[in-house]
Amino acid sequence: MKEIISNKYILMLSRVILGFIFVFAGAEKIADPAGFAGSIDNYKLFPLFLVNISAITIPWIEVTAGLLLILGVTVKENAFIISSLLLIFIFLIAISLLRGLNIDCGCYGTSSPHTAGINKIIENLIMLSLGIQLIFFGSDFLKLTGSSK
Amino acid sequence: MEKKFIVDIKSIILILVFSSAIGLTFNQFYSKGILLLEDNNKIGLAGDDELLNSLPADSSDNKSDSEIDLSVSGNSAEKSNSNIKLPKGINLKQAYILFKSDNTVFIDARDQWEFGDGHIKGSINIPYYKFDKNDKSLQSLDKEKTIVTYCDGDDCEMSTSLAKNLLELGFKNVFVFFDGWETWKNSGFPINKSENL
Repeated sequence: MKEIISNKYILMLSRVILGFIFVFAGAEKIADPAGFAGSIDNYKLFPLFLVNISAITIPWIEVTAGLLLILGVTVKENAFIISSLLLIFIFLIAISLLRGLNIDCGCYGTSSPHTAGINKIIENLIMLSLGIQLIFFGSDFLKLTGSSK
Repeated sequence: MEKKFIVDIKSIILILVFSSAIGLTFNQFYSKGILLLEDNNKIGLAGDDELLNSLPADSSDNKSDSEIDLSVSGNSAEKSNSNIKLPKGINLKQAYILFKSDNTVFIDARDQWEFGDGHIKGSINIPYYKFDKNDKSLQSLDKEKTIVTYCDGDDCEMSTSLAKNLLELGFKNVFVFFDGWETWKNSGFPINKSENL
């Protein structure tokens, strides 16, 4: 089992898949910050200032971490960032479910509605497992190295 | 360099700080950027002219038109957001004017129990938290009619959210009666209660 999880091709796949998902998800939110702010506000958990700041910065963190992942730069660190974001998202969706809120999760911006439900949590858990895999094993196959050492 | 953790904390912080900085800078210049301290989804108020446009041309209540307080002006200073069509808010007086028109449907966004306890006369109940765009009562509603959504009052946002959903579904004239049920009831305007649920 460990051979499969630490296999360099599998790791590269995980890295690239996770990276692309987050670049795409982040880009959608960058395009419509007011909409994303509205999605965050729907969770009714944060004060306005926090909502707005998050709507502005989180998408760029997603895109940057995703892009760096794809390029194989500081893979473990970016995997850590993305895994942390996923943990937060899972937590927020779980709270909303418990409170009985029927809201759009805002995961991929306002143009693609996805309900914040169990399916979304499972989706995020799968991505989280990829993230954790990358934190522990990293991914050096096909990455940017540059000339300096 | 000795690594104490499995990940390099300094790199993480750098990535977070630099991406946030890029985001904030981008937001300054982006035409659809948002203001840090404002509710960017706050909706504006409807001017009386917008109200008159949604009343049918042969409205028989011409006398009440002259009682309209013309000092209520529309707020056009909204940051444009092309992805979400925004409804306009109306006050009690405007709500009552629309109430007297045959072309208006009031929609109560609260849950069915609150609706049963008392609602604006003639209004229908579409609880926001169970909103389903395939709902039958929704589909049978004429999209040319003027819709007024409401819930409890000032603190409640379900009416606004419901109004946005309705606009997305293609309803042409949707207003949000902010002051809501409490204000309507206290004004002594017509109400209904459902005897059995």
